[in-house]
Amino acid sequence: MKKIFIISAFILIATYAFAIVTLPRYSSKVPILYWTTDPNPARMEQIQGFEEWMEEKGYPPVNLRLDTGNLGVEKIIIQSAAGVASDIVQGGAGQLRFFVKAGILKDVTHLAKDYGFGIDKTYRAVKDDLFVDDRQYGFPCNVTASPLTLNAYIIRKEGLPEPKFNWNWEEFLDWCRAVSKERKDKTRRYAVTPFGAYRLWPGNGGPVFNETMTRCIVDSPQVKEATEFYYDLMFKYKVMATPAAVESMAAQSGYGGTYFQMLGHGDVLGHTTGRFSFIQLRRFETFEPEVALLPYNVMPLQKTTARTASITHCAEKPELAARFLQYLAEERYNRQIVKDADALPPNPGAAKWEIFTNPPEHPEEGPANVKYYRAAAEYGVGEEYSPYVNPFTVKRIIDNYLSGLDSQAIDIDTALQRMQSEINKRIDNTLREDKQLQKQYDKAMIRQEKINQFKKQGKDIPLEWIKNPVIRKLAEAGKWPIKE
Amino acid sequence: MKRKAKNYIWALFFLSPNLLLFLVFVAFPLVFSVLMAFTNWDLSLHNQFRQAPLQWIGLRNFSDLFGHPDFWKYLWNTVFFMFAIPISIAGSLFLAVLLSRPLKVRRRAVRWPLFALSIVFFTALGFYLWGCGYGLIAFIFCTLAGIVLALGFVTGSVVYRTMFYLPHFSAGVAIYLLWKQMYNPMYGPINRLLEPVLTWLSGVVNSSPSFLWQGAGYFIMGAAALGILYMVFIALRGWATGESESVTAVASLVSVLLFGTILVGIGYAAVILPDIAADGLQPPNWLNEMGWAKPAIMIMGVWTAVGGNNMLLYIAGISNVPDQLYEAADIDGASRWQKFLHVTWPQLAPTTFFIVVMSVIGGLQGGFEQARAMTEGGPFGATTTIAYYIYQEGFETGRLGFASAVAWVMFLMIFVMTLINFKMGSKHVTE
Repeated sequence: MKKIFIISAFILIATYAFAIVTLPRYSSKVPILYWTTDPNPARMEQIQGFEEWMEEKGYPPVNLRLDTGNLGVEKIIIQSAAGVASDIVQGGAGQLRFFVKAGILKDVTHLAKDYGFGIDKTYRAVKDDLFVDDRQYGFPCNVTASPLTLNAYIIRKEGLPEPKFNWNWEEFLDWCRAVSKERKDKTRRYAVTPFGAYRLWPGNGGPVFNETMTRCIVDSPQVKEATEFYYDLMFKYKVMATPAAVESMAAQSGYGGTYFQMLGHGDVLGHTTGRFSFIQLRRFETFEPEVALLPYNVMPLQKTTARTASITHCAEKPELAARFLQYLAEERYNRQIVKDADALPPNPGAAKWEIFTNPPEHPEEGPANVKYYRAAAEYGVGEEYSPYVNPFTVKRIIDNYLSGLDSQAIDIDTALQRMQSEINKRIDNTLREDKQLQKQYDKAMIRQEKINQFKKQGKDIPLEWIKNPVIRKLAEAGKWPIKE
Repeated sequence: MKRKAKNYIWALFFLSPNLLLFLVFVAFPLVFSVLMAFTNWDLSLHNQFRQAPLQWIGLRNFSDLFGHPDFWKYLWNTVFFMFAIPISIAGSLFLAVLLSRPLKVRRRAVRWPLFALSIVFFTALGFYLWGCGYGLIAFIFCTLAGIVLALGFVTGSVVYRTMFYLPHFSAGVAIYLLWKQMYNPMYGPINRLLEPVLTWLSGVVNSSPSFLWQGAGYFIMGAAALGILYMVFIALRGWATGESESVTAVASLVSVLLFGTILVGIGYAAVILPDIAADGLQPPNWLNEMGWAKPAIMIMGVWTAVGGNNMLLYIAGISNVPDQLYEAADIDGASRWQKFLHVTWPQLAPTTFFIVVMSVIGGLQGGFEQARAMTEGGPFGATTTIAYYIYQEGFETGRLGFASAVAWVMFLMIFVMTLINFKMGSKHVTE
């Protein structure tokens, strides 16, 4: 028995040692970089392109490998803490800021300057997705503005009114009412899918946070008005599908999911999505793309975000990983993104290329491509990330109350009041735990008080004082502070 | 002595892999999480790269938790889901009693109906695949149910036992996705079945005077209220005079209140029926309406639990009841119901006790998978349970200290409930 036990233990140790020695990181002759990202078939082509580009440029050869199974935020942080996270990780929708706060990302400001992948190589609107406290931590793999993507085929076929690219609430409502109808099979054809009330807030001059991002101010007349308009579209005018109606359609969903099925078949005429939707929508014979901005009341603003690539502290060769970020800003990669319709290419210069404005294989997409570009470049505004509260917590609180409004379980006034109170409470909790942040917050509050004084006195607020991208954009256009 | 010590060392050596893994992956995290619950551990502040000083904050996580209205909402959700436990236990017992009997149908009697049903089923399936719409799904389900019923008569209870147990060895997420489709408001088979029933009902309600329905509703509510009061009085009197055990009194009270509440609900529905049927009755939007999301998940839970381990335990328990007891009851002229009440049910007390304890533990821990796969805790937090809240706080926002505190509060609740169960139940079981 003892012998069996000892032999078993020996075999286990030997196999473990064998597994370690044969790990790619130890057995490969060229350095290996791991990239944690989503499983998209286009990634293989992108990897091949990067390796070839490295060779062409005379940089050291490198083997880039995908890790698609560890995209979860908690996984990335825990793996980083254990020192086994990938060299390059994907971020988006506040993830990068969360990673920076956790200290797992490498500051690439200097590398960006040396290698040429600074903010000048991408859209201004996504700055807050890449920078924290004026330090750069990543570069976009692609950029997404999500205006309304419309089914021009159905609009033309049925002789419906043409949508405007840039429309105010009244114009939008008129169009929605003109195109919504009851059908013979007793189902309703809606103008648009439910896109979330929060998307209308910026266009009505209603930010989530104040100028210095120190307090949540979502319980404002502007946000209330935009939210009321949104739910009027859904429940009063019945031109926007309710979440329940979408849920009903879910049984019909096939390739691409419910929304694309609804849009492709003409069950709705508009859906808020990015250029990446073409990958799915090209398959529908009853679809041709048209693009329109979300309607505005104060000024047109289009939320624009980036799917980023960042280097972790686990990267053994960060300068080699930085070459990948450099590659993302280069022509070769951007051509691939244009060709694959994988959202907007990170480098806005690509929008001037012939293959973008008039793609040879899909010429009908050309005008829509240009409109997506305009949505991001001219009307794009970044997400509001307050450094004083976890972005996921903010999203969860907002989503929770919006789901209450969707199911008519709560009224708008109460929802906004509670939303604001809960987010502010979370800010207080964060500051209580992070003394370093408290100091930064105190300074910001002094600035905020000055801003409040300026507002009372009717003076212009210096733009450099404004940290909130939505308010900055409004102020740049002379639309902030909102006149009551 | 020396040899004994040597043996001990070897024994420890043999046990060491298991012991080591237990210590590393069970004991250490368990003790560590107790400590974490009293700290402000946050993944974004305290990790290898960002080493902010970890603070011992005493009971602050707990006071934050108890002071947060969401906690009480999610606790109520968890408790609400547990109301399904008595129903699923009763269902398991009912099935076990049924499946413990030999099926007395001659095989020839079902051969032709089975053949006919099979033809109907495959024809309907063919039509559906051909593109004849979703209405056929409900029809296919009914025929399938008929086939299963007939198959049971042919092959005996084995088919039924297997069918009822099927949900238990299917993957949870697969079942939840299936039910999500079943609950689809427009194309789901449940609403497809409900639609004609509700259309017929609204027709009946609208064509009859509303006072009839309202009168019937008030009568049911009144009768239920009186019934509850009477049963409560009986239970309390029995307890006060020592005729019944405290556990029996509590169990009676809980059952009476549960079924009484259901009756009052039915009565209330009858009262408001004429008003809501005026524009036609619509099937519920199961997972997206505040009022229906919880019951929808409970119905699914009952469906899964009724034929699960509880049923098997009851079947095993019933097979262990000595035949002599039934023979004695027969000699005394006991009816079937009396035999069940005075022989089967008392003999199953240990099994029931075990099932209740395990169900309460499972109930307090449950709700995570359903919330994650079906509703994401919505609408408006209606299906968020304590277990899902722990996940949200610990892994979505990184507040590990706070999440540990919630987990330990959940453990304490389970521990206290189990103690109460043992205190009240074990004595009753052993008697």
